[in-house]
Amino acid sequence: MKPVERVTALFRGEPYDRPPYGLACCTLGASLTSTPVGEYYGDPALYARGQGAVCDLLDPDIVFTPFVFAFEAAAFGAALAPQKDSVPNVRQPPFRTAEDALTGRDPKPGSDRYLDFLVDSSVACSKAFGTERIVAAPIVAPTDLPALLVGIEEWIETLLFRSDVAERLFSKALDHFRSLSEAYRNAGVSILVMPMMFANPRILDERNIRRSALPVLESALRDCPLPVVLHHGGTAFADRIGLYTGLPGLAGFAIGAQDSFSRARELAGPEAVLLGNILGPCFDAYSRDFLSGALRALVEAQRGDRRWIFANSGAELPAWTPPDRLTLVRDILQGRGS
Amino acid sequence: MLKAALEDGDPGTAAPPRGVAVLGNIEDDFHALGRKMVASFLRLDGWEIVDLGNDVSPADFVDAALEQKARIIGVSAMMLSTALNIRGLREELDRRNLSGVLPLAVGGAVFNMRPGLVKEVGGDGTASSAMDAPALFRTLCDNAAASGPVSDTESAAGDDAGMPDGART
Repeated sequence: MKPVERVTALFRGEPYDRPPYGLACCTLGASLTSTPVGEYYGDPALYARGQGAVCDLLDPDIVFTPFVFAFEAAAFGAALAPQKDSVPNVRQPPFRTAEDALTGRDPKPGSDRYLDFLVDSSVACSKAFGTERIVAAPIVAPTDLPALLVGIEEWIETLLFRSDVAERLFSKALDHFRSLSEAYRNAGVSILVMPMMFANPRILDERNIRRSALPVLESALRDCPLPVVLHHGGTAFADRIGLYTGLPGLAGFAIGAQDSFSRARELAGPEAVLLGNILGPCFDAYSRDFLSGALRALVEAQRGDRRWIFANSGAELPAWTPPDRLTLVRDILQGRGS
Repeated sequence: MLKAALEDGDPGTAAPPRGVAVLGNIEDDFHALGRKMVASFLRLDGWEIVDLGNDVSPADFVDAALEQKARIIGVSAMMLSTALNIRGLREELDRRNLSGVLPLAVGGAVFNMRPGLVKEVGGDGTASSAMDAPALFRTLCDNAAASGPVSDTESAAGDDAGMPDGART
């Protein structure tokens, strides 16, 4: 089967030959092609070339477009802090207060260089890999964008004490989510991956999630032109996965490394697609033996689960991850060798 | 309001004074929330906090610790790429012969995900949450205080008045 056929079959509940897999190796593509990170995250062709190098080693079913959430903030005016070996960070949020953010700019794909890089890289990846593989685009959740725009502390205060302002900022975030997800669809992206921080009970209390976050997510997903994988966002969330199962347009759940697949399956139901769960930021630190053992154990444990995709949990793999970790994953998932 | 109350209050009111702790996010790291939470819990525990903010160079950490007679440095980083910059702080402590007498507490989300990172970056210890930070800071300072002679360190620092309190006990 071609990767795209395999993943499609899995989502449709049809037979397929082996578990599909994908790893977020966005910045690793820069290392593999000896491209300075600053140039790599400024040129869609270089990004696609880097992902081509990832594909040569990993042969994944899923390829990821740039995982650079700071660029979504930069489109609104955030100051960035470039990093030598990883994606840029937000040095300074674009707005001091939530009220400032309401009257601030509303960037659109096609007229903002940061959003254009994200979308044009998606176009480049779709052209290069889209006939063979699924192209997935990470996107900032509309429940998290406000924190990127005004900073976490200001956003928490707004969320807790100025709910009218919070609602209006959510509306701005929804507009952005809609225009970017539409642009991703037009770019040939097949699926969105949406990490959630301010809709995760480990971050925000459940009452506030139900009151403020879930209605926003429901609105975002109802109108979304692409299926969306909800990503754990860095903390465990399998125990509370039932909070989200009623959301429309969900493609699945990417669970954390500390989460249990059996618990997630129990709560998400037999039809939900689950992704995970070896921790991405540790791939460079794991020895080949450790990684091999952990992955083989995971594959064995998930053998009967026909709705499982192997993916890394947490953030992307470090840029300096040894390439043989990718071939190891490929060989185990594809059943090559012993 | 809580922050203001804590800053206005006498740190010895609720807990015995424990000395100065210098906090900051390492160079290139801009995720301040965790650091601020740690600072709040440390203040409640009686620490006087010198908060250097985000994107602090190793030299600035050590200079501030010496100037403020700090007993400990607490450094925060959220992401792996920035956490690795803490190695520069350990090198700076080594260079000034302060390792072993000026403890280095490290923290941030990535340390919970990757416990081995504490050693990788040269940290003396970490806590899994801000609430656990006071116990960590006390333990590290107690260990440093019990770690033996400091004459070399004093000599290397070149200024007795600038030495961490913990180094003298």
